[in-house]
Amino acid sequence: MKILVAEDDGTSRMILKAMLQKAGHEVVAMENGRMAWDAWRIEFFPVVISDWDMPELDGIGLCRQIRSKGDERYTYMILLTARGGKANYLEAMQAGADDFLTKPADDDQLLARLHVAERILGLRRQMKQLEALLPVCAWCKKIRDEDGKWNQMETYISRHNSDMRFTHGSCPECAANFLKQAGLAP
Amino acid sequence: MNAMTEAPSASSLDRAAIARLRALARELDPSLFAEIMGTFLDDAAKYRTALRSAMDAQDAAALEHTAHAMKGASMSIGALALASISAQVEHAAEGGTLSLIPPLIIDIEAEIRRVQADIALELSAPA
Repeated sequence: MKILVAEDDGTSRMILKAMLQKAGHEVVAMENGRMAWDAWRIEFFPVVISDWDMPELDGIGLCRQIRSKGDERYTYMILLTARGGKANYLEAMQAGADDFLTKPADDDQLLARLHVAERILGLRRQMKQLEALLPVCAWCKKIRDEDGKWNQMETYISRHNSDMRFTHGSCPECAANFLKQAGLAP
Repeated sequence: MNAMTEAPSASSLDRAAIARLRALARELDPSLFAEIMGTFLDDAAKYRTALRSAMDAQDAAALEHTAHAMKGASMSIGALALASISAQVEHAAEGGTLSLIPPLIIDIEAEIRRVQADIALELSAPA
């Protein structure tokens, strides 16, 4: 996977980068949250591993920035920090982190969490693909919903997009057919 | 306990952490171990100076941040005693009890010298 690392301590950054590369990941490592944010905006990274305490923009700020972007593609965020405790964990989760690990990172544990990240990102991709496939009746054009019921197209769309409203009219072809069947046109 | 079985003097570096870094270097790049240790020593010197400056300026936030950074770097190479003293500085700065910090900085400086000596031994030892 392509992983963006944000870590201000040079020693920790070098070790983390080497460990991830050894595991076969493609790694870009930045010195602080601001630089990581700039890198993320230029190039999409499915996984970000960030320290918490960094100058300019900290890990929590980086989480919030990435989540506020509301990108269609999901970035799995792991906070890797020397901070521990429930309060910090909860703050990280509220900021949009997906995972929280305390330093020093145990290699096996971090790689296991990356497997989880890979699995979640894969499921999300699969879900997006399924969402993009609508089962439509070839004849009447009704759409099958999640419960297996067939709905008129308007009903289905209204239920899935509350902002959508319909106005009904006739296209020229249908209008001509209707008039012909009603004997009102030659 | 048989005194002969005790280690003559414990290294300031955790053996498991050093073994992990050596294994990483063996698999990726043989020069990586020396690079990591060199980076640590540069960073430690930088943090030491920053701690002194922050103490002179009575800057609690800078003391807390620098001690936190020193703790993280130390843990990553297995310099556990140095990490522990750094954590004490961090907590004292966080709690605003700056008077506790000067002797801890002296301890940090002494521990950095021990770590430096042990790193030199590690670098002179065969990989």
